[in-house]
Amino acid sequence: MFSEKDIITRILNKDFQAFELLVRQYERLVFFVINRLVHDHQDKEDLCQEVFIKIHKNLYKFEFKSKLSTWIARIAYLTAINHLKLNKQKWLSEYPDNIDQYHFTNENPEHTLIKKDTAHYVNELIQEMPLQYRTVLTLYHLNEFSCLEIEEITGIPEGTVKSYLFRARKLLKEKIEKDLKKEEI
Amino acid sequence: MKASNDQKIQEMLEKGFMHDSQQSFENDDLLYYKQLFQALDAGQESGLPENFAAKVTKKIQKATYQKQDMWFALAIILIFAVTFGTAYLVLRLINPDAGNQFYEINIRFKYVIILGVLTFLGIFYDKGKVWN
Repeated sequence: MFSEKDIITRILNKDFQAFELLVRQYERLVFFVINRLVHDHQDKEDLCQEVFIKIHKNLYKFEFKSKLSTWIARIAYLTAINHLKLNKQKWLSEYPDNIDQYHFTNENPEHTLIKKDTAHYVNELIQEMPLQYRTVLTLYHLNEFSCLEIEEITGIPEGTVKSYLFRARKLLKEKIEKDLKKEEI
Repeated sequence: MKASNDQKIQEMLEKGFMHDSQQSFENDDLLYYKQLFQALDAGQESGLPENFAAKVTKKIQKATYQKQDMWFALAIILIFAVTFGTAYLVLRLINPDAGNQFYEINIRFKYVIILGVLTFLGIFYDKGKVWN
């Protein structure tokens, strides 16, 4: 049984085995956030490492006011955002104001090939979406955070999170519908 | 009308009502949304290596020990500096000439002392690098 309090106390007492347990418990959560927000494949593992180093360094500041997973997700989210800012990736600035007008670009051949595997196809589509949509979809569906927890992690108001979720899913559904109909023809 | 339809289906699927009547929604919307939700909720593989947790822990462990070693080395240097300073002051109080002699000897061998300190720090730094 994974007890947050127990594991944190052990880590603060320099128990490295306890820290390894914590990494195992949350590595998927951190990877999902980094993987969806950062496109540069080479940086992903390094960024995940950076997140856990920050967690180890700042664990004494954790006050149990939120769930440990929410706190870890926030560190992962901020690390990814900082990385994007430092690398001035186009994904960060793309569609910042006119996010409501976002539409998928025309189909490319790669998409046709993987359409048979819906989950894979949806993942590819999400990677094309603006950062805000990718963030809420990942935190809500993959990491199973509530809209309120997503507000805590990202600072995006709960109402906006719900609105992004709705619009992102609607866009994805329309794209899938359009593509499947095209395939039938 | 269409937007409220989308809203209703999304809310329904979020709550997990997967077997609701499909006829109440137009154009197979429910079907497409079902497919989408299944895809969104599908568990993904972690792209991290199997030994990721061990690797990160080892890295942090090494960094922690290296930091401890550097503090230890600095503490030793500080103890030596304080010892030399105290020795000089005591000698000055007992016999000012002896104190001055002690000071001059130290100044004469300042490069040897500095080299000794740097070598000492270097050994600890290098030990940390080997660990990493």
